[in-house]
Amino acid sequence: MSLLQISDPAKSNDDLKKFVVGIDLGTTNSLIASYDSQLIIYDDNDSELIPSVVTIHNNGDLSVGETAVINSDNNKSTCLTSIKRIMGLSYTDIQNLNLKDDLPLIKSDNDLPCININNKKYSAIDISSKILLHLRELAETKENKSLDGAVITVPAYFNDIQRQATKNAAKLAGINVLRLLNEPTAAALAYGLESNETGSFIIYDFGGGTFDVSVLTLEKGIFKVLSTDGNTHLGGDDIDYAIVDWLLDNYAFLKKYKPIEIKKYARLLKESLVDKKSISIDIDGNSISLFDNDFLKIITPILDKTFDIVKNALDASNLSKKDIKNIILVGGSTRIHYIKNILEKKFSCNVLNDIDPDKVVAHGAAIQASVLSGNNKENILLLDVLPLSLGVETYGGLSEKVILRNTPIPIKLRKTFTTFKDGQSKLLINIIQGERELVSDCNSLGEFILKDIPSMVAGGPRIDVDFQIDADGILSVSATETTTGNSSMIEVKPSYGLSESDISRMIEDSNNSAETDMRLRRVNESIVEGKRVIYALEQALDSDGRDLLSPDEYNRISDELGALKLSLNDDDSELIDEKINCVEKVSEFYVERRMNRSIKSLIAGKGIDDIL
Amino acid sequence: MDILKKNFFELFNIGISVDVNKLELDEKVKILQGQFHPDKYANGSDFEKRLALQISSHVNDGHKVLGDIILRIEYILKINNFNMDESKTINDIDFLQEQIEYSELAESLGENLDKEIIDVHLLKAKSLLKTTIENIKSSFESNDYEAMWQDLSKLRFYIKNINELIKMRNT
Repeated sequence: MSLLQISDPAKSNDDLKKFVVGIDLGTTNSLIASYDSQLIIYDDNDSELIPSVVTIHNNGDLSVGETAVINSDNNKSTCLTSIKRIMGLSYTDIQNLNLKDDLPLIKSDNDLPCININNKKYSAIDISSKILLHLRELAETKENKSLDGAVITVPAYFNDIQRQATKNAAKLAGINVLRLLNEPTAAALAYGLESNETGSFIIYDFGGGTFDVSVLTLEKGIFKVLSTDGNTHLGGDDIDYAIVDWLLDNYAFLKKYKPIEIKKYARLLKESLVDKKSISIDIDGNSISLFDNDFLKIITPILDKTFDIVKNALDASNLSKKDIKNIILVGGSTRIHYIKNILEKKFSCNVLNDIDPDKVVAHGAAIQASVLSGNNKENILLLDVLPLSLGVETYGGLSEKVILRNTPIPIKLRKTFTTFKDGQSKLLINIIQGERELVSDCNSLGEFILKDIPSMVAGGPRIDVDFQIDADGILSVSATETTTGNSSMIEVKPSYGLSESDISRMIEDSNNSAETDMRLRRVNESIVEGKRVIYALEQALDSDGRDLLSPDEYNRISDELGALKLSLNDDDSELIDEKINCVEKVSEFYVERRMNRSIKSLIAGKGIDDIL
Repeated sequence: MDILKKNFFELFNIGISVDVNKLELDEKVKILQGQFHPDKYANGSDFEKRLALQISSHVNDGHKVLGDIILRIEYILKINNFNMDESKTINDIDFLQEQIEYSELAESLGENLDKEIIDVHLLKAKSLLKTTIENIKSSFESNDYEAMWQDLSKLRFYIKNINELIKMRNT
């Protein structure tokens, strides 16, 4: 428990330090980094950029990262790339999007897309969890410590399902997710801390598979997102495919090659052209060349899409061009120098790319992880927004918005529903995410069935449905029938994909190995957690325990604290957890009193002049 | 939890008023989020996390409501237990006449965009808006919630008109 972030800089609490990391789970490459006074990026065979590639061999073995790229052999294995592009999508979504990725997908139960290899099915969550597990093992091996938690970045424009999918992949990999962080916000954090700049900024984040833009204001320690926009299927991959099309039009001999190989050449051309007028490569005795003016023609339609999105985000932020101090470039695709030139002309401001665009997101995530874990005492606050509006389906297949996009999160909204028919006992609510009017043009997040509605005339029952969005941008829904106060009447049916119970089962399956290791690890975790609880509570009691508690209350808390201290001597994680629980339960009213008091001292009697 | 029971004016410690100083409100939101945002309780117990999520959401909701003139006036009526009956219609003949004229104007502007005409009407609508807000303020002074509610309907129309005109002007 943090009990209002008490910290005593004089007292060293190194043994309470947690090992936490930031993870940039990218379409093309991933990174894992920690930040403890300085940034450490964990490498894989000397490469900090770890390919987001999983190769599944015919014998069932897996390789991940660099080795997956080297060990892929078309006859003996299947190489899976750019899996992030299908994260959280249904099989139908993928058909409709007409993605060019050549993943061998089949439709599995509940419209979940799966890759079928030797009669074993892998979902996008499975594959992503293999990548995350690989990253975790790299960091744990380097530090010789077990990981306590991670901040994982996602595209700002990811919807609820895509965010849930990412979180579930992390759970499967045994990673405790401290927070999902939007990629542009992570970049802003790294940039803001490095440069100490204040003002309004645009983050232009053009990655391998996704494009995001966020408009933010930075001031001392506060990073406030004003608006965000993007396209989760627009990235460097699309540029590669556009080059592939151009190559096939201009070099007929390429038609005999596999698409994946032509894409490799396309990428090589793109990456080699960065600072040259033209580039030629030799393929089995045939030469192909690409000139920069042709390249510009190929990429212009794609870049124009990104500039339109920037304009939309700026409009939504209620700022105008002249308010923008800098544009910050993030993501590998921003190495295309045309982007910088065009943005400079369009916005007449400085376009910055001095922090490595491939690493800045992981850098920011690592900082946030160290702040959240309490390792880093810097006073930083990230205020983010909901990327896509949330609504419910109404009569006629229309989406009625409940929470509009760009609303600061966390946020809770209540909507009241009633029945259409006399004696109706069930109500089905379809939750929608997206901007369009028609439900069929948006994403359905799931259907919520409200049951056991008391029998009344039509329009009689009042059912309050609360939509709570947390700081990760993830929705939870609860409902209460106000005439009876019945609140346990909600049943969730995901639109497709995995349900909560599927995930728990998968986690169990992956955990039934190495029992003793697990036990030791659990004891260790409980002891560390117990020490933290004791430390936080003692600090709190020292500072205001005598003021806020009666002697009797004080003793009650002290007694439980003593019991917890005693339990740390035993190697019994269940006992320690139970004692932690007791301490937390017995001090709940104290926590409330502290929070109530802190709001008074924060706001009461302060005029605007005192605060500014 | 005391904080969650506070109305938004109490939460931000500002007097109940039709006007709100936006800068002051923004600053107070930042101060409260600096204390109660869930990120500040990432190491907390489940109970603390839950409270922080609720308080932080309450603060954002308050910011949204007090930061918007229409929502703010509705909220003032709500905390004064005024019954906002949506079925009541406006029976101010002059106002209805004015809105009919406006929709005719909007239609003709839709066919033939004339920026000068837009500017003239924008100015007019803004001045009507200002007068209406002044009326609402004085009704509030004299606790005349019925009059506030009547004028709020007009306010909605004027704001909608202004937004439409600005949109047309920018196309």
